[in-house]
Amino acid sequence: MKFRTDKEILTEIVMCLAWIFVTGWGWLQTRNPETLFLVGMGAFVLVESLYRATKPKPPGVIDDEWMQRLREKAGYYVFVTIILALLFLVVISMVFNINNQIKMNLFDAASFGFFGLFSLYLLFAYYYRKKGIY
Amino acid sequence: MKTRIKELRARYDLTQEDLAKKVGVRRETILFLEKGKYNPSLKLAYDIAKVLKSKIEEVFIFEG
Repeated sequence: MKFRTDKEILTEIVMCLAWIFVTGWGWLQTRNPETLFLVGMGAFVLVESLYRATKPKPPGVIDDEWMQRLREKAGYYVFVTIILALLFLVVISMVFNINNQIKMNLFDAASFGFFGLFSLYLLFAYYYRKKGIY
Repeated sequence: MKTRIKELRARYDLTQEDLAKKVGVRRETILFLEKGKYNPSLKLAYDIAKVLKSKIEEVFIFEG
């Protein structure tokens, strides 16, 4: 019987073994039946991974430029939506008369998120301007 | 942008899948290119033109 040794399947098997080790160690500490169930789950996935390792690797999806641009565009709109939502929350916390404690928490969280995300955006934009986009 | 990919594919008896494989992209990418819903990178445009034995400007027609 021949086993595949590509990175993908090896990672999966190592993760299963780590899961079994951690949950098994947990079970030895607690002797809890629920924890034993988690060990069993890990063992099941491990057997399934080993079975798949005996089969040839299925052809993967090509990550071409269409997919990359799709991700970039979707990611950009998610970013803009989050930024606008945070800005909206900052405005709400400033304009509307709500409970002071909530108002302060909302203002802090939203403004921190807004400036944090926007700073990250500027940082990445600077990085890619220097590095170039391929 | 209009493209003549479909026409040139037919000339060389290539399916979308064949062309996609030759230039290393997904079939969907070729589909969207043919529909004019996607602007390819210069590299992809060059690769497609090369496979279709044409010049880039013969395959991709930019309008205004």
